Amino acid sequence: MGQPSRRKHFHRGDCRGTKGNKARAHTRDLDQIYEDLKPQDARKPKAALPINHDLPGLGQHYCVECAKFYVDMFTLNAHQRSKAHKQRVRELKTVPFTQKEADAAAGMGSYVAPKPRAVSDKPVEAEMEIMSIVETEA
Amino acid sequence: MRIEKCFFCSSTIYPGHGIQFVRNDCKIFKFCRSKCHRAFKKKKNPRKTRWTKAFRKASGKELTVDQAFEFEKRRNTPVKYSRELWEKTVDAMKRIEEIQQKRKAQHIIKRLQKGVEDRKKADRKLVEKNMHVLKSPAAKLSRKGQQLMEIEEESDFEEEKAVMEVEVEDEDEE
Repeated sequence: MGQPSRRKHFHRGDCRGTKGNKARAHTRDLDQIYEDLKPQDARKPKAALPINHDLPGLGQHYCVECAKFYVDMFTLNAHQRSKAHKQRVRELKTVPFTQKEADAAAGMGSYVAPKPRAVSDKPVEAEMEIMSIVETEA
Repeated sequence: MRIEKCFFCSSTIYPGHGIQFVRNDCKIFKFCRSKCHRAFKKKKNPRKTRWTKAFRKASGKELTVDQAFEFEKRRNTPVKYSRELWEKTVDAMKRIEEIQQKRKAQHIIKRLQKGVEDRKKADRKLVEKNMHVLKSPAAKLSRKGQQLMEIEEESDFEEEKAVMEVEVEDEDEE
């Protein structure tokens, strides 16, 4: 009877779509991650992740594709089995969008659509195997 | 001063318009309006966002490779002013725009032609599949029955003929 049908101020703390979209909350972009994923020199030993007390899990469990730190190996593995991670991996298969491509789309030069490219360093390994076979034969 | 292109939607940004974002690795991203800036912050892919120029070109909706696109370019060497060159350039711009419009229209007509063909094919298939609506299957059956009767009649006539001949031969021998 005396109750209002709708209460006021129910969405005061709700900042979906505003807080994450600020430039200061900007996370690593796809083109930067694409560079991170490029196969590095196999002869060099992999550098250990530096210990950072401000990051989750001391910054020891990092997902390169999603640019995110996890508390432990277990959570990282669970994440890598998730849909979000797989989607990100799929997105990273094509060459990232650049200003040059935007210009070409605007009619400054011919536009050639980028082809999907494998991110994994498997072809490099295969080449190295072939090279080693050739060397042993010779 | 330069007329830039938006990173997200590829539209032109005139001086004093839009916003630019400088990433912590010194890379500059220019946006024509807040719509494009917001889409960038949400990490949307311009190639997959349907209202951008990049989408329209990447999905083959617009003409992509053409000699007419080779005139407008980012040129970093300044040209010394000459009135004659200026006039010629302005004339050329008009002509190039004309040619571009024609070729773009041609591309769209060509692209839509496929839809016309596909629709025709689908219509033909529909008619073939539902032929029983146009022609009664019973009519076909009765026609078949008539043919059978004719064949039977013919065969009967031939048999009778053979019997008659045999009988005639017998009579001759007697």
